[in-house]
Amino acid sequence: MINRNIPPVLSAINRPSIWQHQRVMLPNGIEIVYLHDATQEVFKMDVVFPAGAYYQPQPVVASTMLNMLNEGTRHHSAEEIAELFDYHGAYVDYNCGMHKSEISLISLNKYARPTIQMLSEIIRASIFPEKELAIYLQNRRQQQLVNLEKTSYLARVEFLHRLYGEQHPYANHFCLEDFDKITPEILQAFYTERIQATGCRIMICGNVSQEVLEEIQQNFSSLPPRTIPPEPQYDITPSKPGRYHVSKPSAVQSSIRIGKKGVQLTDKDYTDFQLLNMVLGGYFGSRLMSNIREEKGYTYGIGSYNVPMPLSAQWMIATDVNADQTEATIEECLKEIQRLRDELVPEEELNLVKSNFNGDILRELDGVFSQSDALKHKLNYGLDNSFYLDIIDRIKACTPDDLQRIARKHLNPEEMFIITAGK
Amino acid sequence: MIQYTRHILDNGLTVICNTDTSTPFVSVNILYKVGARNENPQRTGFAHLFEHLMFGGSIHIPDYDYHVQQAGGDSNAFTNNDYTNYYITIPAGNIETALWLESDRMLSLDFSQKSLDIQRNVVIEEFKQRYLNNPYGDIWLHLRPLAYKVHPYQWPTIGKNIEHIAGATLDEVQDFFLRFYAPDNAILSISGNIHHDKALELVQKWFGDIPPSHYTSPALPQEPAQQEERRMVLENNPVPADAIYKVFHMGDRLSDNFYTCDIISDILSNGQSSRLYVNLIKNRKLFSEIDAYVTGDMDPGLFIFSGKLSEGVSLDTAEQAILDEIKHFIQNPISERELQKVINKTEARISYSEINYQGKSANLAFFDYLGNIDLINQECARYAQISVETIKATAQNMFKPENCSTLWYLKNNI
Repeated sequence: MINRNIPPVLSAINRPSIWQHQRVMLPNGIEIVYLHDATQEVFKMDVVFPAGAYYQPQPVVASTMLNMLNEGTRHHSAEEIAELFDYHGAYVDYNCGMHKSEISLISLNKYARPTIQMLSEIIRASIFPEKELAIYLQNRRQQQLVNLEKTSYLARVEFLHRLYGEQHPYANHFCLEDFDKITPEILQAFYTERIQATGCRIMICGNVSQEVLEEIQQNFSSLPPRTIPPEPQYDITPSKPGRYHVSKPSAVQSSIRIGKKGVQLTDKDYTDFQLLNMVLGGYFGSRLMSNIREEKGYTYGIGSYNVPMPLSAQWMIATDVNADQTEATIEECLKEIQRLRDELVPEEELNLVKSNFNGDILRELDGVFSQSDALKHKLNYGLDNSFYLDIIDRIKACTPDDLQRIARKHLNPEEMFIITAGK
Repeated sequence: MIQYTRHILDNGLTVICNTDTSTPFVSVNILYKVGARNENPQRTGFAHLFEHLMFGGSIHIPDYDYHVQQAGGDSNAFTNNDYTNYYITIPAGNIETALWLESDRMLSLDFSQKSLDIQRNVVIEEFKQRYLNNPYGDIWLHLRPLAYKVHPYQWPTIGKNIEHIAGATLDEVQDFFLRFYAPDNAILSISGNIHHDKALELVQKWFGDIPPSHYTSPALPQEPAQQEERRMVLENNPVPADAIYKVFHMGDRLSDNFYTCDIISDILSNGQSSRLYVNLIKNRKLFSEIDAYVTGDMDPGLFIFSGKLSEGVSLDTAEQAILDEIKHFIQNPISERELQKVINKTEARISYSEINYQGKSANLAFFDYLGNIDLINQECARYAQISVETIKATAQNMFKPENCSTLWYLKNNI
């Protein structure tokens, strides 16, 4: 019989190997960055524009413009466009971020030509037909009505409003009437201003064959470069920290958000704060999960998150709990935060979290598609994936004293918003 | 094409290995051949509750998660009506940690009343979060018992109601473990950066001495053919739009009927060029969302139409529109280009799914459970051999009123 009381010896978690990316500049200013893996029979491309919600002239314009790109061009109807992608088994996806907006294509290499051509066409020659727009807005409106029934949505929106002030783009404030104010002309203007060569980057990964590269160069070289308006400035106007409640009398659970400003990617405290956050609520064995789910059974899940964005970061605890345990949950969350400020994290726990963090990084960089996603994000900060190697070095050096210092600096309960949505 | 090896240990454990050197990880996936289908109708939700307890510590290892995290691993599980699936992804050098953890909890759990009490509460909160505190979340709690009168598919994995979960006892937990959690009722599949000989050797080392249970599940009652149309109306729900569901009985996952029905559902609703999307959302504007899909269950499953109605559209109009599309489909089933489109999409879907080692390990175990692991590499061929005539005949035969259950889910009138 094997002795099961002795765990197998662990090997140290390897440092990830970073794929080297290649770069090509097109004459119109588009930057192509690619990671080639000849073993794949699939490629993925993300066309990234500075066309996020931050730059929109009025609410919901950026996401509507982006999602309407495939609803008709000067040459093809919405149905013809969809049929071409579907026929070739390709997937097109639209992702509207705060600063960047992306159009992504995943396709088999053997169908690279038709799918790249059509992707380029919807980017260069969209026309935003009125009929398609009306349907899109009607459906978005209905989706929004569903969101308004969810306590988790209500709590999140309230938190962002309190943290940034309703007028700041990061609060992403909009109401149902905003859908009625969108016209094809407004979309066309934003499209002309933002979907163009200046500031555009194309990420390609998977099997980036010569044929794929050439097809992309050929199709995207004709996208005209235009001047981009200067970066708009907005003031962050937070509310007073403290308790805020959104009433939803029919809810059987309460959604809780406890949060404040977070730590940005380029901040020297970033890695330490990520580690600290992991201890508190960033993995399955975290203190919040152990206490509130595994000890008390108040919730199906609880976590804490640091979300860095270019101009500011947000940090929050999020959970949905049995309505009767709302106050008890908040009390326990604050207790756990206070404990990080008052007591050193034991070495053993810190080592566990470090291993978990290293595993997460290895996973985040596993394979060519993951490396490309990670790189795409880092390039926005003028970094590349060697960023992760610095993080790994810093993780290794971080001590319990460092974490306590970070907790006292960045997790002050006096600065937190405590949001509840429910009964 | 996925290469794999397959062995059965003396204690009945099936072991499948696929080597993938493109990742520094391995996935250790264990499928237990037990799901909500095996539950006592008076104690539903038990298989899923049990899945939670599997993370509560085993006979030699009090804290499962601690060791997963220390090894840089990640672990999760899911339960459905047919089976329960656990996996760990872990840096390849630490595969033994995964095998140690999984073999110990297969050998014996550390049954504790406290763990049961806590996880009952956690699962009750999960029930609320997914099914009650979520718009449209309770639809399947009503639709399953409408469509199935005899087969255990009549209840969802989470259970019929909260009371069933609240009533689970420690004796029942132990009994369930002894019957279902044994090597001869499990399939272990490994995919990732390890040679299959090495993987098999390590599996033998950690799992070889676990005794089998020799338990045979009683045959499940099979659903008799539905004889007449069934309808249900649920009023006054806190949702912004009315919804409609129409479900038809179809074949099981291994049957030709499954592949034919999957093609039918693709043509009707996969992608923005599909018939339902173009006709009912874009042209007639009757729905804000509409879907047709199949369940793919082990036993005969369901073909489902589900839609959310646009504002001002009556349920009668919406239902008639779905019936018109069905009628139109039977009369004009499919063009050559539509058929080719479905085949291309399937081929692409399979190519994309082969990128991820974890998905491969889960699929290998699933197809082995179905009874034909080779099917993992034959799916494309199964689709490609379906003829236009078969599609027409299948649709005609399935889409009959007496084979249909219809649910109207109405918004409240505030």
